[in-house]
This record gives sequence, C-alpha cells and structure tokens, in this order.
Amino acid sequence: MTPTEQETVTLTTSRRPRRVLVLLLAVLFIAGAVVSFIGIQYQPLSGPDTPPAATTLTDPVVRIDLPHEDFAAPPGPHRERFQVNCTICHSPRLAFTQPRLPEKKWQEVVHKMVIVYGAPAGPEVEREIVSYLTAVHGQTPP
Amino acid sequence: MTQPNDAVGIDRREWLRWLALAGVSAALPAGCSRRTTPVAELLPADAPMRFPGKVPMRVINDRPPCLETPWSAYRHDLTPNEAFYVRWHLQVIPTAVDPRTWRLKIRGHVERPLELSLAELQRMGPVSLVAVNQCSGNSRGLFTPQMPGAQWRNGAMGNARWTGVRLCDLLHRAGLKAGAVDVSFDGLDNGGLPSVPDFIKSLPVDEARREDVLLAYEMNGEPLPLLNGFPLRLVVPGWYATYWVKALSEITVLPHSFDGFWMAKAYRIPTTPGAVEKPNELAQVTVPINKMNVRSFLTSHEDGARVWLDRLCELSGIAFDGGSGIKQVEVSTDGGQTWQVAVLGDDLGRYSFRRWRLNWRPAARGSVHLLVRATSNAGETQPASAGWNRGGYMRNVVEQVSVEVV
Repeated sequence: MTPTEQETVTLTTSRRPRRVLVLLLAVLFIAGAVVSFIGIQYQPLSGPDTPPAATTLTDPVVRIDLPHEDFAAPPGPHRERFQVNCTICHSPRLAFTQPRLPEKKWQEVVHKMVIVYGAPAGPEVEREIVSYLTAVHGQTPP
Repeated sequence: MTQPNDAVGIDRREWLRWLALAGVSAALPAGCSRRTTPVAELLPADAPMRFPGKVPMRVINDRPPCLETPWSAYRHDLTPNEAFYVRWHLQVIPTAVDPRTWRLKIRGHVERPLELSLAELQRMGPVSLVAVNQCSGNSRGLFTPQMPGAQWRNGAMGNARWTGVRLCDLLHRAGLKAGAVDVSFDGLDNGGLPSVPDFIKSLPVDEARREDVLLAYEMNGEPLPLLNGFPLRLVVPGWYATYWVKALSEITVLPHSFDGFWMAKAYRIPTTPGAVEKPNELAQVTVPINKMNVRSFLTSHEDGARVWLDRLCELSGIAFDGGSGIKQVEVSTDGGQTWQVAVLGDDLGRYSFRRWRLNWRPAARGSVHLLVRATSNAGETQPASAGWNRGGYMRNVVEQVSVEVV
C-alpha cells in the first residue's frame, strides 16, 4: 500500500462522521423550522388579542338543555291513543311513576285531564286510554 | 364470640367469611355480563337520571322535570343546589332566561306599579335566611291507600340559605291601596295548551307583608339554578313550597280573593285536625294548604344499614317545623317503647333544618326499629300512626328506619 493510497483511505473514513453530523444538524434545523412554523400558526389563538371564548363568557343568557329520554310505554291495546293524546302535555313516564290504579281511579284521572286541563279526547278516546292504562298499569279492585 | 379482635371489631372466622364473600362478588360480574334483556326494560320508570347541573336523581317525571333529592344529601345541613329537588307543574318551563330583559312587574291594586330588573333588585341590599322548602306532597308515595299524584318518597324537601330582597319593601314602594286582599304570583312557566290553567299562586296580603317573605335571587350563595327558579323565586318561610313560585315575573295585588285553579281547586286540605280524613268519608270543607307541620328524620342510616354490636354508633338526622323552631328530638332504639332525648346541633334559624345527634351502643344482634319524634317550640309533635287525606299532603308520622345489628 502506497502512502497516498493510505491517505485517501484515512481521508474518506474521517469525513464520514462529519457528513453524518451535517445531516443530523440539517434534520434538526428542518424539524425546528417546522415546529416553530406550527407554533406561529397556533400562537394567535392563545394570544391576548383574540379572546376565543369571549362570546360565551360574556353571554349573560342562562340556559340549560333538558335531556330527552323517551320512556317506552309498554305495549297494550290502544297504546297509540295514550301516546298521541297524553304526551302532548307530559312525558309518558308520568303515568308509569303512578301507583297501579284500579279502573275506576284511572277513569277519574283521565277524566280530570280532559275536564280540567283540556286534554283533546272525546268520550270514546277517553275510554280507550282508560282501558290501556288499566291493562298495562292497573290493579284488580279489592 | 371466639377471640374477639378489638382493633377491627370482628373475629377471625368473620374475617374469613368476608374474604370469601369478596372473592365471590369479584367473580360474579364475569358470570352475569351477558344480558339477554335490553337494559331499558329492566329500568323502572323512576330510575335516576342526570339533569343539567344536578346529580343523578330519582325521576317522578321528565317532562316537566320532577326530581327527588337522594337521601344522602340530607347529611348536609344545607342541601346542595345540585341535589336540591325539582318540581314543575306545567310543560313549558323557562330553559333560557336573559337577565338583561327579564323584569319583575308589580301591579294591580297599588299606587305606583313597578317594573324592576334583576340588577336593580340586586342593588337593594341583600337579606339572607335559612329555610326549609318542602313540597306539599312530600312523602305522598308512602300513604296507604295510595292516591294519584307525584309519588315522592321523603326527598321532596331541602334546606337552603336564600338571599334576596324583602317582598314587603317592594310592596311598600309600590304602595298598597286600601282594601288589598290577596297578592298573586306568576312565573315564566306555562301549560303549552291554552286550556291548561297557568300556575299562579296567592297569599293573603298579611302573609305577603311578613318581614321574612323574600324574593330570592341566590340559593346557598349561588344564583338560583334554572331548575330551581332562576332568576327570582318567592320564599315563604314555614309555608309549603307550592307558594314558592319559581322564575317569578309578575306580582299582582288584588282587592278581592284570588280564585285561580291552583288555589281554588288544587293544593287544598281538609280543615280537620292534622288535615286528616277517611277515604270513604271525605271532608266537606277544604282550605288552601299553608303552614308546614313538624317532622323529623334519621339521615345517618338508611333502611337495612348494618351497625356493629356493642360498639358506639352515632345516630343523626334533621327536624323542622313551620317556623316556631325545634324544641326537642327524641329517639327510640326499641321500636317505640322507650325514648331518649337527642342533642340538638347548630341553630341556623327557626325555619331551618335542625340537626340532632344521639350516641347509641347496640346491645343485641338482630333487626332494630329506630324511631324519631320531634316537638316544636309551639308544642306540636308527630303522630305515632299516619293520617290520610285525598291529596296525599302533610304527612308527618313518626318515621321508622330498620337497621341490622351484626
């Protein structure tokens, strides 16, 4: 091996880590550039000049959203009469958190709804609603 | 008992039993995870639901909302707002209120009709008091025979610090004309259908002019939750909550007695002592419900709770009445044969819950019926057996809780 040959070999081997270092620096630089670019994009949102939540914070209207969880009235004859006529004013749930009532009591309750609160039901519909409630949430009279 | 372990209060055999039980219960969910029935079918109609700003609460109705306070909330002297019961009558309830445009109107039989904003009311120098708010039909679901209506257990009540202005100050500013008889109160809610009678309540003018009747904009130091009557609620200490009109918007002074549906037909009680009548012999004469009767409850233990044999156990609870204040609370740990006087806690005012406490050392194993009985400063006490009326109002029987001594 001639001295010149040996020199080139040493040269190439000593230049390789330097190249790696340059490449690494380049990658870091690019990564840094990308991060700061993204940072700049997002900065205005958290900056003091733009209050993103301002509209909701200063909105003085107090409001709530009531949950809508339909209560499934049990199947039975004339169920649709109950669903159409009774649930105009209240949840179907209200009927089923009542005690199980005998037919006579359901008659009183349904009649009160018609006479006092103006539930839109003629005598025939009233009878059908009573028969539904007595069938699914009734009680045999003592 | 063999080799009692004083530090824990149970012996080794009992420890092993508990360990085995823990093992079995850990294994249980694995075996039961496959449901064949849809969940909805398993839930009772009154299963707890979460409404905005509220903890999960037993649902009497979801439209309009009627929600019952969970019993554990009564371990606090002031019932937390997020657990405070909710009761609306009519379907259309205010779900959005703009305090900039909301106004309280005072009109009718007055010299100077008023229209006040929330800010104006809040500038008036606040007045605070602690008072129990209890639904007329609290405990209705416990009557026998049962009657239709909201089937509350004992959780349609709450105790809060109410802050606002005195109604009498506003009535004075408006100037009552001679001959004023009733004052009526209307809120922002309505029935939806024009045929549904609007929820309007009235007080005799002398009650309305009481110094402690408030128009409250705060409850326990916070603005009223919408579900409890934001922005303003009538507070009638000592009287049933039916008069505590929520989301108040209009006060009308009348030169005659008010005869709206919710006074003339609903919320009426027999004039008999204790408002008691018989199902087959209804009272002929009824009047609007008014002042609350005396009640007391055990809140430290619920039915079926277990207490240790021969170890000190603190029983505690609450008592209240219509405003004379609580004189004495007695507790029986033997089903009503003997009574011990409980120690009364801080006095937050004569309209407030009064905390009571009693140390008890159970002396025998088995089921024990604990009874609580309060006496008011007015000398009123609670009946040993429950009275009945058609509306399911004013229940105040001596309450009983069964615990298991183990």
